[in-house]
Amino acid sequence: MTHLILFMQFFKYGLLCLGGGYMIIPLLYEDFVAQTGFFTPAQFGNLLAISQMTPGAVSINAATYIGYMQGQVLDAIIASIGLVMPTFILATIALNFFKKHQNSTFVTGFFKGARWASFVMVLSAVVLFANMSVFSQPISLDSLTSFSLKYPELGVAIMSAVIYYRGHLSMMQLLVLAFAIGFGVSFI
Amino acid sequence: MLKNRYRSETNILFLIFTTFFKIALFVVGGGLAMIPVIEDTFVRKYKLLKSDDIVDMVAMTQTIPGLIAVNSAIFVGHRLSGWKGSVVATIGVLIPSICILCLIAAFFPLLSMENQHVLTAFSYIRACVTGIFGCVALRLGKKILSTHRDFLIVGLLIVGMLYGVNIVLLIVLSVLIGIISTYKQQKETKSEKHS
Repeated sequence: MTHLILFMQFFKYGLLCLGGGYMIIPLLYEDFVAQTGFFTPAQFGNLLAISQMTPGAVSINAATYIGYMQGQVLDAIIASIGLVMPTFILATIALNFFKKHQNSTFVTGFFKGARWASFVMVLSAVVLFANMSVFSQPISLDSLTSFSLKYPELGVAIMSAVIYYRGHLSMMQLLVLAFAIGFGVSFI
Repeated sequence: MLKNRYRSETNILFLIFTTFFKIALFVVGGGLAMIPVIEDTFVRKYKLLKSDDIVDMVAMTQTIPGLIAVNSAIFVGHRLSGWKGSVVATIGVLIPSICILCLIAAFFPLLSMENQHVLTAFSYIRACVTGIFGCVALRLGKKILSTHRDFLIVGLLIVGMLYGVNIVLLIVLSVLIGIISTYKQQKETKSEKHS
């Protein structure tokens, strides 16, 4: 029974993810910190850090971790599958619909509009990651004129952009390189 | 050619599974960070998809509710071999996350993130991801921004986002504009044919 409740709870989160897994973080905070006190705010912060720093999708990582904390491995699996299920159902329905009506006005127009939106979302992701690395304080509309940069990180960002654009190294190799540089720099 | 070697369905399914398993096992930074790796693997390495497919994939992941990683996996799996492909890809994305996080949860319950070396290293990883996303944005922009109208709409969306308009609302608006403009275009070409 508790398994079913856990499944339904994460199914709900999966349904509410619009534009990616980051959307469920405030929901998780509301349910597991503010309402039930299952985690303290500091623990929740660590949980997010772990989910972001480990490989894989951030929200699946968070779901697995919370599921494991609720019980054991089985709960972790149930929570992750519950989270993924709505995405799976919705995306399969949508893809079949798109395939059937490939050349209809609706589908062509949908993708045309979605492309503009996706470009803006990727731009905002650049800002999100820059806020967590290149800028010492997150930039916003109010602080556009007075931001401060962390120059070593900025250097790594520009270097990776250039190398990646020219196709010298794959993304995986670049990430390993960046990790090595960061680890080395931390000893200086 | 590569395409022939992977022609049999089991081979393609196996390739889809292992690729997404590897991506989920190695790529740090969540679903968005997986997009360039997916492009690298399926477009450049195996030549099973075109870069246009990736643009469509990104467009879909941003408009349909759900996780970016899972949406992308389902999209690629579906393009390559139907619903079986999407199931296999989704399982491939899930397994590494579940294994790694269960291990962490079992051995380091809410481990304190105070190791200075690890923190600095991850800050550099995020800087690297910033640069790579910049590239992804540039490539997407080259494909998407071709007319004055594209620039106008994208500009408006950015302004809306900066002023804190609800993101879901912006996405719906953008899709609606796309549908209406396509409808108008098709009407015009039809009436031109008639006259």
